[in-house]
Amino acid sequence: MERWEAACELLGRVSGWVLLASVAAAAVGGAWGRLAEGLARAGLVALVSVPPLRLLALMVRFWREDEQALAGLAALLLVLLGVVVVRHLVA
Amino acid sequence: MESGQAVVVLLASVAMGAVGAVSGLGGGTFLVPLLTLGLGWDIRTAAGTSLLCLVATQLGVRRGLRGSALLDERAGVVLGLASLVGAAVGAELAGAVSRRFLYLLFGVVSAGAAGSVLVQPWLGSSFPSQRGEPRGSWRAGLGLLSMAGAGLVSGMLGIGGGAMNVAVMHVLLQLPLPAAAATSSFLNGVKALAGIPAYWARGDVPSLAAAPAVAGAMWGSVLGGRLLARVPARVVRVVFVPLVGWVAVQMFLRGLGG
Repeated sequence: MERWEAACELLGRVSGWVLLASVAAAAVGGAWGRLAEGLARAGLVALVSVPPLRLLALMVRFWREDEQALAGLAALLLVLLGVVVVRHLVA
Repeated sequence: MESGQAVVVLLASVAMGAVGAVSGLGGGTFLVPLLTLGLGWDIRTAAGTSLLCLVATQLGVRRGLRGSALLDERAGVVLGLASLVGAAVGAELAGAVSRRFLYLLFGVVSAGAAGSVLVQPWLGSSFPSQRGEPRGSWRAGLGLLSMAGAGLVSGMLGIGGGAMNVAVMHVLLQLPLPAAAATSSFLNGVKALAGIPAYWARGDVPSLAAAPAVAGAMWGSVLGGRLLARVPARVVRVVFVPLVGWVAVQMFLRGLGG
């Protein structure tokens, strides 16, 4: 679980650096502008994927600690988040 | 966005992220007014960007919390459900209501946040409680309803609503203040994630424009977390209450069309 947490933190840090790289690429301009757009999107997607991954880890931890009700609630949170995202992706 | 403005947004977001972490109000209370009043962004674009910043600042806060027992994950999961529903609805509503209403609501919420910083010392001493105290069912019900309301406001305005979260968890649900504050940061991540898709789908979050704000807020919150221990609470009240009060007045005036 600690490894998972460390991986999430690394992903968060990487997203921060990718976003900074996109700012730098946008500042250069020209052909770098398109790369900047791609980097910005990748950075933001990486960033927003960290909290659900942590929630998933939390759900697994509750399950292992025999707290099925809380694990169920964490799973419900994840499902609801997924529904919100998919609803807007489809629309 | 011009590269000059991107640098301005980046530096301002570092400052706002740090100020938000030090004041305990979160970055949105400062970032949304900066982007709208200072840089002329649309309030919906500012709110959507601020929600992304909320996730980024939560990562910084989380780094500081690692290994601590402050975060009440059980309360976080239960309250997270109410917050999530509120934030998702709030983000949808933000696209439906007028900009003037959003400015007015921001003014009211900022005034409340300034008030909460003022009364913090009395809150801390008047409600001494321990984790695990029995919580009445009416308190739990009201707490869930309040968290849904706080989520709604967060989703509409792009703020974390830390002041609201902490007040509800501490006063109604009787969580100790440090646990309430730590759990609030967990809830902010959930609320932001529930709200972001609606803003993204409406085109209110231009990736390239948001990138410097989000990166700045992330590094700013890390910086603020380090400064937190060195800034006395009295200084926070003296500096931030007038600042947030000023923000409240300015947003209110913008809402009234002044």
